[in-house]
Amino acid sequence: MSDLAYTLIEFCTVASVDEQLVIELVEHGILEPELDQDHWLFPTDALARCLRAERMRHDLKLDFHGVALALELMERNQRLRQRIDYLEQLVDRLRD
Amino acid sequence: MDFKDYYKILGLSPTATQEEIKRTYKKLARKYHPDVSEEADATAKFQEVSEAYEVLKKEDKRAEYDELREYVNNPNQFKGAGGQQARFNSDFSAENGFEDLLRSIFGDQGNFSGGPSAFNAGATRGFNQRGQDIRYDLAITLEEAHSGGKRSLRLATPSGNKTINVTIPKGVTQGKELRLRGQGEPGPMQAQGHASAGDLYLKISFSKHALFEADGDDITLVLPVTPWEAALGTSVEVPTLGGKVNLKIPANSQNGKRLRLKGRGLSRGLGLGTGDQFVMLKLVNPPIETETERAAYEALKTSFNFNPRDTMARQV
Repeated sequence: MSDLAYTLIEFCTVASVDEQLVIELVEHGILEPELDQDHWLFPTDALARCLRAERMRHDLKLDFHGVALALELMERNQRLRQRIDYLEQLVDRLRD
Repeated sequence: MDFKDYYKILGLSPTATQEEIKRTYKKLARKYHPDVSEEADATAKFQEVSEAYEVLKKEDKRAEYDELREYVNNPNQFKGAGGQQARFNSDFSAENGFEDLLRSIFGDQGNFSGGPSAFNAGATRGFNQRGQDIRYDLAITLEEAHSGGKRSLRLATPSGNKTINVTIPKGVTQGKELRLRGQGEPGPMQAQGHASAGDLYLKISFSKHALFEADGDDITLVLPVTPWEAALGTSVEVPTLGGKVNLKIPANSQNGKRLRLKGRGLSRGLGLGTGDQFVMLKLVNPPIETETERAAYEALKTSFNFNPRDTMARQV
């Protein structure tokens, strides 16, 4: 496993996607690379997110706005679920 | 190949309009899409639904399919639409006809059931020279998340069982995916040039811990204390993921009070610091077993002029 970040060109090569697509994904806030001097650095988990966004766009016929919104809502949902799990476990421990 | 009832898969009547088929497909695709769905068998369901839609969405393919379907359902009294009976000569079988139909839609790559999944084909679109990515869930302990660790995993993959060694990085959190490059399925044999293997993704979850609960990078410990420890204050030794530390409980602490041990949680990743450990006090009343103990509670009763339901009385 590598914890390295990818440059735009490396990212496109590893993900086998078009540079233009990655730029669109960044412009819609779907990918959020860090800025190193004046070029982008993508964390490795951006790769899974990019491919996921592409599948959703293709299979569900979503546009970039739709993908961005869906991903954001799903992440919010996941955070809430984790929070509920945590609180439920805590209540159980306080009750025992 | 077994004949499949695509109308049943979509939950539609065979007389459904093209518009109804499209609408139903879109709804089911959102429900079962593996990137969106929470259903356990989402990938298989999505694949089935997509296949059904691919066949039914075009009028001419649908007509061909309908004919086959009628033949399968009523093989003896089949008349054929438009006098096409001649097509179904003696060596005709519905299975072969069905396979031919699928081949005419999906081509020879076998992107229908039995071959590589339509979903995976979509996922690797544009770089078909690569092997498939595979995904597994991996439950790790909070100790592993805190200090990092190594695991040897036995995985049952489509191309057989294999054992891989995984380094669990310090500070990995729930829901995060670890990517192991090149540990997925091997690239297709027939591919020209570089047929690199796919990747392996491990989705991290935390297994239940005997003492701690994780909330993001923070850890909570519920600490049982006696009423006098909470009232008088004390110092107790408490466990943390990094070993035992002393915690000062201030006087007049109430049940549920949260105390913070700064930096005793999980790492937030390189250079981002560490979460905290919270200690939540849980007051435990000792049960009365002797006359001395009863007298002690009686003494409390007479010493205090205290009604915990005061505010409640004022609300009614």
